[in-house]
Amino acid sequence: MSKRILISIIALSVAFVISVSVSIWAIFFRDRDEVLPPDYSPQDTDDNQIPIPDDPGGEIQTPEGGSAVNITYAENVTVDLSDEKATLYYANPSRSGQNVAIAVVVGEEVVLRSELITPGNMVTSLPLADRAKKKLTVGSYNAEIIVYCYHPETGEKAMVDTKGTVILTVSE
Amino acid sequence: MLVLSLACVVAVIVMIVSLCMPKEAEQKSFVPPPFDDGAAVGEPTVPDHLGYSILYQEGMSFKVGICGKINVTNGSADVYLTNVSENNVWLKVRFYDRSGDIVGESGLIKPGEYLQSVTLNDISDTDNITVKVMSYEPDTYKSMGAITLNPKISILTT
Amino acid sequence: MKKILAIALTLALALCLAVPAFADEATLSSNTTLTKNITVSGTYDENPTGEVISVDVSWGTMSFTYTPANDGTWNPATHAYTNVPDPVWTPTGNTITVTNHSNTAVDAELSFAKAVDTITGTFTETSGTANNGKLELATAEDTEVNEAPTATATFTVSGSIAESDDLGTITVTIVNK
Repeated sequence: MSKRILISIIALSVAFVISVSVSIWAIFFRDRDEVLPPDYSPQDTDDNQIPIPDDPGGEIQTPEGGSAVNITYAENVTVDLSDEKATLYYANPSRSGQNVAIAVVVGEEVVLRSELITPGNMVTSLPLADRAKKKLTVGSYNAEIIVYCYHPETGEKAMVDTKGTVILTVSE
Repeated sequence: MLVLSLACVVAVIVMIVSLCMPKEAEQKSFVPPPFDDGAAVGEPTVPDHLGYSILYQEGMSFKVGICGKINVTNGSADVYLTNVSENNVWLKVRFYDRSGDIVGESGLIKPGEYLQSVTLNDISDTDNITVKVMSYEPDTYKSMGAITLNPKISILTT
Repeated sequence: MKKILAIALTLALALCLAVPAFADEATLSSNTTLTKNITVSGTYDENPTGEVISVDVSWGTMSFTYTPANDGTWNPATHAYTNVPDPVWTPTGNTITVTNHSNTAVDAELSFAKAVDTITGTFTETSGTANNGKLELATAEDTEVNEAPTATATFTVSGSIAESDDLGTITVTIVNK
């Protein structure tokens, strides 16, 4: 074998070994960006949430370091005791900067509580809380809707809650 | 010779592709914070000059006792973090420096427990230390809110 | 040869894996038309959901740094502090803004409860409505989206405590007028 061919074989072999070594390092051993583990247990998004039709999008002007949320809800909430469900309207438009969870309460009694409703989604039906199924009777109640806000990345609960008044109508 | 050349070309192409591939950040899943070994049951006896008080306001999901003046001795910060017995949350405290990096944190304490000290990393700029009290729903570890404090931190030499 | 056989076998297996879709009704011939009469009924409810309230609520960092009253200049001649400043809370990001996008006027009632007895939180309205802890917002009807009624309050703290805090939950209660 001529000297030239021998040198070529050696050069190609070395190049091959180096390429394979670098590839293995890049795929398996290269340093990945350090990611901190989350501080709080992740919360589930509500199974009942559905996308808001014709969500206009946009942004709410937010002070630096602060947060903002849009609260949209209907004043009437109806409860069907036989179905053990409440029909309501709550929307968290995509321009909100927070995930929200809502609760409807009559006095101290929690009628219903949702899991997370993410921006761009709404709920129109939620199951009743277990105690509420037994405590509610046919008629109307003055109730409150409470909106809890959670940071979408950290899951930390915001220290600004929002409340509104709703009329709860209960039927069999 | 031809086979070796082809193999070399393929290896070089694979190397270029793997180097150009974006690094995937390693996803870390939530790990429940541990309970603090230093937690003691009851209420602490706190020296008067440390400005200890119970913080609470309507709407908060917890009451917490903590010092307004925190002395740091040999890396140990005396906070007297107290999880009031009537609470229904677990608490922990975290210290941040000016750039938002964590310089120390406690484990969790349960209602009716308190924690006298938290170990801190080397801190020099005591004016820009922020303290955050974080609350968790028991067993689920969901956030129940957090408050941020700017206490007076003093480093004492022994 | 081996390759051709392998390719043919692969194609054959792939065809076997295809799952035919079976209609759960009788197969329609091209000349069959299926029709069904469906009765549509409905009831008209003038206001099934009541008013729909929509407000934007934004808030800043709500951070306060407390300078206690006993800071000052130590005078070794008199063993006393001089030039003692009054205790002061320096706020950062203490503005709450509520914007009404509803088709009805609403009030946003702001409430705050003290962290400790010795301090007081106050909302000062900066948008022209009476300073009564209530932001009054007109209906958004006949307004453009970017000109929706807005009211702003600034949250301040007075008093003294032994430590400085970021204050906890502020509640904004929306009331339909």
